[in-house]
Amino acid sequence: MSAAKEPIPAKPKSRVPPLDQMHAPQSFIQRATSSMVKARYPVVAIFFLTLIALCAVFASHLAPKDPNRVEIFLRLNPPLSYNEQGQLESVLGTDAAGRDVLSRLVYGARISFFVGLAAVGFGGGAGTILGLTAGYLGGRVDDLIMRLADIQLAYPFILFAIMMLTILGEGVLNLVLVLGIGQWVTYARIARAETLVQREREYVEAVRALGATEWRIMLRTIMPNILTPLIVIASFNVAGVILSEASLSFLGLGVPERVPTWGAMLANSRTELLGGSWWLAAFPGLAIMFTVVSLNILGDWMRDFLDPRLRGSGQGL
Amino acid sequence: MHKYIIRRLLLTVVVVFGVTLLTFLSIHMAGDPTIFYISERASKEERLAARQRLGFDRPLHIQYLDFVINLARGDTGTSLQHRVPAFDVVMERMPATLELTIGGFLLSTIVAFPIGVLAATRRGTMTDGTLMLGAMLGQSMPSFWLGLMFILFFAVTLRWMPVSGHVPFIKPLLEGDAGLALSNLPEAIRYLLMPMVAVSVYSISRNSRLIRSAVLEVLRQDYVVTARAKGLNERAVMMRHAIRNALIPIVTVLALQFAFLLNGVIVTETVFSWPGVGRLVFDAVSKRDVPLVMTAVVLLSFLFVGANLVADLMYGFLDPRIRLE
Repeated sequence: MSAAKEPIPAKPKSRVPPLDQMHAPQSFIQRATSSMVKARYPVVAIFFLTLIALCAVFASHLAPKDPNRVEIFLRLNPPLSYNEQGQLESVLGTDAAGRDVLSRLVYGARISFFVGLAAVGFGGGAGTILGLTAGYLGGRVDDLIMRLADIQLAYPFILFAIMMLTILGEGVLNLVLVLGIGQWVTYARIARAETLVQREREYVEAVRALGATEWRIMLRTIMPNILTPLIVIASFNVAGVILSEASLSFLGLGVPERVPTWGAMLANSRTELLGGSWWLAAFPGLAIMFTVVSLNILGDWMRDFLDPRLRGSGQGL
Repeated sequence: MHKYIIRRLLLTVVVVFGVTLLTFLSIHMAGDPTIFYISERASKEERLAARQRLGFDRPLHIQYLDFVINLARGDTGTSLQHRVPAFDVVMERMPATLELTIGGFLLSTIVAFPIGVLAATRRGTMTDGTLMLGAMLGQSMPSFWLGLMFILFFAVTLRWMPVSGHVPFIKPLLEGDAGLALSNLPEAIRYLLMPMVAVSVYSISRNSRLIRSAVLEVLRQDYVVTARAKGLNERAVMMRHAIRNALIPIVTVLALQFAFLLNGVIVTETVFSWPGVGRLVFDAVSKRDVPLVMTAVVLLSFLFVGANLVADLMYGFLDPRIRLE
């Protein structure tokens, strides 16, 4: 170490670190943490997302009131309103039925989070497997899967969603299904492209020579090597799905009326807008925006950290 | 090149067929559409008669083939709710949707360009940071929420803008009444302004980030270094060498955005009570108006696929290195 501390005059700056630092072993988590702290924004994003996640999980403990309790005497109270005893009645106001906005927001986090993660998990999982199969097997299977993808791309998603949800009826799982189906194409295309590259590599050849079955080669050998770009896309995708979920709830599709969602709160705010009840529209929208912006920031960071090649490729940006 | 275009057009037709088949099957999966067009207390005989009259008693594949053959003849059938040709019902509403989509597209392109280029040339400065933070926020807002906020702020509080409504511009133009279209124009723009901005904020943000990274990518190239080395001023380097080449990836993405905008437009139409196809399709699906749904889906997916085709063709046009075979 002492040798490295000796002043070396006018050494040109090099991207390659000095030999002694090059071998400094750092775990994945260490590198991730230090890169995150250096970028600053992701730390804030993680903090906010943790907060929302806590709201989603412990909604029944955190919400000041029952989100569905109708108190008609308390209708359209503005934020920070007090009752006769001088106690704070509602922090973020009440809606046209006297329901507490803050409590509904806290419960609304549940749907956004669950639907966002589940739809990306479902769509991403299915898309990855289909893309992997198409890329690895090629031929007719490839043609079939990729033509299906083309058809779906020609189908405006919102039309598809309106149609499926009107037909399937309301329900959180239907929403997850429809939003998941909306996502698989992206994953399938990328998984396929990556698989086409990987399947020609020597290590795949080696595993095949050892007598591994096709399924084993696909799932155990190739899949781990194509996951990085897919994970990066998934992180942006959760943000996109949360926005889509809000749009569909806004249109009154997907989730039953009694379940509070951010999108449905915005839909209900429409009728009170002309009366100037700004809090009904402002807070759910801000909740969506901060959640989505945090996910996008996290996605940005994850892309730079895991796979800088994707920068500027248009994926997720 | 011609071969490529013909092949792509054929593929478009195949894809639109796939879309219609999918739509057809799913709308019939939901059960017999007849029940939406008879009274609740109709007897079994009445129901069967209505079913026969509407043609829903035929086997599904016959119904679908019938639809396809009629479509090829240019006949899209009669809307069950409106009792006029489905094509006319959709075309009545299409101009309003196009106004919003085209307006949003133009706005997002015009605004995103200077933002992206400015951020790229000032990379790492405060300007860059502020613009990109704004873009990040803009990309994270639901467009319909932005619409609600605009109504609240500009229409309800400040009273500068109308809350909702629509003055037609494209429609009189299509009907050949250019005079009416022109006299409508100022009012049309006034009504279009809020929905248009709401719809395009997402695209502006996304596009300006893409344009920034495309320009940065080009600025790294050797020919830009060469241009600087031969003493060109920064303006000439940017205009003549950098931006021209950065256009290639940008144009592709822009054309793809057009299709994407259409999704946002359908939701935004609800916020501003905009008389477009979005609401129409919504009602048609819930009333199981099969001919109307099918017609709307065919027309919208042609628009969608058309925009993507234009994107692909532009790509080859802008970059002669890319041979389209």
